[in-house]
Amino acid sequence: MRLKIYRALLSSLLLLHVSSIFLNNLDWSPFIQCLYPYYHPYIQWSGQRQDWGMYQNPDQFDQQINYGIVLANGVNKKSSATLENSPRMLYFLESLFTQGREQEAIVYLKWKSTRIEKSQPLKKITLQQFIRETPPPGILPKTKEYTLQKEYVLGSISSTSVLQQDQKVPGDSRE
Amino acid sequence: MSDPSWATYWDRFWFAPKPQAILTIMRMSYGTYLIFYFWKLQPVMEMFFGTNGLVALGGRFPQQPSPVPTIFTVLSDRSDTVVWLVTLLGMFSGAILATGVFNRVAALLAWVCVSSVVTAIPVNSGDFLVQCYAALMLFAGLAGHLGKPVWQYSTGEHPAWSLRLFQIQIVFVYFFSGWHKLASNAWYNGSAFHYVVSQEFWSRFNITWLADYPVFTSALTTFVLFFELLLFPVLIWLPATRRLMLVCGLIFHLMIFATLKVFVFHQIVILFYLAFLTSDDISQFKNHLESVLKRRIPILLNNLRSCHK
Repeated sequence: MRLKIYRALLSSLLLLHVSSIFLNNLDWSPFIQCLYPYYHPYIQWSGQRQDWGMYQNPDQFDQQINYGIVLANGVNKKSSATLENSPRMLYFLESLFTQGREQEAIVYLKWKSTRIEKSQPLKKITLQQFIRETPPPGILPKTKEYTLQKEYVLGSISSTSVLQQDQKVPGDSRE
Repeated sequence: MSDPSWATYWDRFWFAPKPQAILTIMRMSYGTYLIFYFWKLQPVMEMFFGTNGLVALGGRFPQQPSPVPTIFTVLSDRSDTVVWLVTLLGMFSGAILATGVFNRVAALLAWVCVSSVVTAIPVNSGDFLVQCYAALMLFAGLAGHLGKPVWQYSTGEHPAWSLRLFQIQIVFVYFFSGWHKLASNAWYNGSAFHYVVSQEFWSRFNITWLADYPVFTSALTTFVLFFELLLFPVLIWLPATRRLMLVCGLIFHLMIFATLKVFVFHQIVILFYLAFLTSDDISQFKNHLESVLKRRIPILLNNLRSCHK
């Protein structure tokens, strides 16, 4: 009898668990909106967020993310963030552009500016996203060149503090 | 005799005895994995929450604050010390989970550390899956299903439900990954892989030449969609096709890992695969290993002896 009660109780919990993660996998709808307050606290507090839209909408462009630095003596340097960073960091840098997170991008450039080996004080640092459209299958690309899509600029940097920030965001945002 | 009722099927599915060795292997693998996971995350955490990190410089992370407390919110001090504390605590939880001492506490500590990190820093689907694994390990740990310490061989059995939760989770990952892809034109019309292979940014080496073979990329797109939506979620439950699905999945993830800069996801998916092992698999592997060692060790010893002479 005790085993039966134990199994019935555990079965209910298992059913609730599986139903919750199932519902959390579904897209937003009036039905989900109605049930959301009941299952979401469990998902949130137990840390079982379901987000499996990997490669759901593959980008129809290739991109390059570059750093550009200008030293106090006017020397310009460019380097590839794509080559310098781990996949996790690339994911973060890409999100600064795709989610239009200007404030965080400027903060990141502040952080980055303290970690660049330089012979002269830094005058300006930029983070640039270049893109090249990928044509549909069977169509030749119009160009192999990458064009500047978005740029974050942090200017007039002293060795210890940031005196001024300016920020340019040309082109359309891709959110 | 009447057919078994739904209640019988339900009981068999959730409560049939399963060998403890499977969850023991999963616990050891996940514990070992967590050591590397936290070690690799340390520089990233330092960048966000370190003394001179992005948060200290005025950045807003996480973007959407969560009401769930984390080690970072409880110890609101943003410093390298806290980052190292989380890193070392996470690695320590992995180490004790791998060894199997204090399984309940170890699983709880691992869950707290993983949740703290996944809630605080920008993460991807792979990290969410690491967090799901931690939660399911915690459930199994609290139920006492995680086996004995490494020096005491686990021979017992436990009800299947803790293992089933891992199996259902990974089946949901595949199924809903395919389900969401159906909403995308690129997957529906077979061009998704054409765009994926065209992205040098996310490739480990140049595979853009594959885009010149639309027959191949569209076949691959269709296969992946069917694998995620139908093949894996259905055939993994059938004893006759279980191993085939695991091998196909393994090849699928190794291929993606070798070609694309995807992090965390493939490693943790493979750890989920362990939930589909059976006692037959384990004993076959053990016998194979023993026979290989029996054959190899005398040869190795002979070689060593001849070297000394």
